Amino acid sequence: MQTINRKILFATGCVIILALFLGGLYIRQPREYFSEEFLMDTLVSISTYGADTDLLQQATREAFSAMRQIAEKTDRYARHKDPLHTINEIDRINDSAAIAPVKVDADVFAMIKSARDYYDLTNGAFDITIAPLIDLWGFGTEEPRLPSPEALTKTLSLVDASSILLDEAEQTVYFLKPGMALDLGAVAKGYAVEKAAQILSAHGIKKALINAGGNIRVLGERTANDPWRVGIQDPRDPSGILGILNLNAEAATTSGDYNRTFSIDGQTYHHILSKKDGYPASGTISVTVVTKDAFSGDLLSTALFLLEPEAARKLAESMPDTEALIVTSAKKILMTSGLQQKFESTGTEGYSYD
Amino acid sequence: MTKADLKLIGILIIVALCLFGAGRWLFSAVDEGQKAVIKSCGKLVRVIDLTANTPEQQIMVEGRLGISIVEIGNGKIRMHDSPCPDKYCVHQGWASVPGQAIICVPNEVVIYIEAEDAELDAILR
Repeated sequence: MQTINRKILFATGCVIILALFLGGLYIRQPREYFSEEFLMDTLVSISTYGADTDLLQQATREAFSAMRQIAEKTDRYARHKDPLHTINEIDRINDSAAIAPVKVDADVFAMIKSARDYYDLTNGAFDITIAPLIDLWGFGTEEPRLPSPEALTKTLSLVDASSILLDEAEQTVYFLKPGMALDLGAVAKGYAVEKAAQILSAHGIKKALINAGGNIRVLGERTANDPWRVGIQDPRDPSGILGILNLNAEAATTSGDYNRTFSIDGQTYHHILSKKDGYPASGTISVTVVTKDAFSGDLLSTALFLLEPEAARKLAESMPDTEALIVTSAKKILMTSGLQQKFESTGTEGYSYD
Repeated sequence: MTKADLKLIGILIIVALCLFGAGRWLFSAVDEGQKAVIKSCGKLVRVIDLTANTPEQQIMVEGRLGISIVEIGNGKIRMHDSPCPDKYCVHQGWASVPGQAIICVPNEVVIYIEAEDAELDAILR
């Protein structure tokens, strides 16, 4: 009788130890740490994965803090929203760079310099001196309005990134024309997302997803030999998708004509303005690019949006580690040759592939 | 080691595995199919099953500026009305695909579509 009791006791003990051991293994498995914050007119979320939750939390906090700083430096609207707001980097440039060269911090200088490179790449179609035109339309204010042809012509003469003088050694920005102003709207979000990715990486985080709406950056793979799967929104049906991108340690960025729109007399206008005529760019309704980093992705998606679809595809094709998917206003989809390996079409009705 | 000992070890392992499985099942929320997660100012407000059987309803969500009205019907969800100036969230229309989100930045109200076996990690908007 005693031996049986002992056996039962022993067996129960073994079972408990084994269960605890398995439970312990489960807890030690990589876990997700999720955090989100409203930044740069969108909701930004960061998911990081690892066994050390404290490290994930610390890295995520630093990443958000860096993004917040970029947002504060580059937000042209901050001073209109908050009268107590202190003048930031972009305000200092726009207020006084036409009077004398303005010394700016390294982040802002890097953004302007890269934006100038994309001005050259697109023969001037992509231009960050677009701010006076954006303001003429009243984007970012409560009352957007249709500008008069005279006002458009006058304002367009101020949109000229070739009149920005950059001094690399002094880190200064100087405008050759009074009235010029910069808008970093097509640049800052990608720069901030990439900076966040670099911070996570520097903390040794191997797997992460940063989602800033139209800007997505992944670190590592989703699981071993399995890529992250990111849908591309159907530009004409917000509840549908065009297809799925398979991503590995890279960035995907979309620019579309369906975001930030307003209507006047039944006509819808979007926020990506072309300096050709001063009106929202037409011909393309959505551009998605896959790049190694989120910064060049942000620059390129807007730049390609402003080009003719075929010219946009050619430019993307000529760039290393760069793929693009362009949806024309005729709902034709153009892709770079390397995108096929990363893209699964969902065969959405109404679209044709070229 | 006798045959009986081996048998005992085998049984022990099976029982332990069952216990572990039962623990995971007990302590994890049972969720199948897709859900809508509603957050306001960073805080979770509601989680609602998003199936064809979910009754049509409107939910008032207190945000930073005021009350957003969220509408559910036919397995879909949308922002019916919002106190924000630009109303981008309302214009976005219905959402039903896991990975999708309706985001009202000014009122800080967010609706996510989630699914346990989500096919997508994110959607480019």
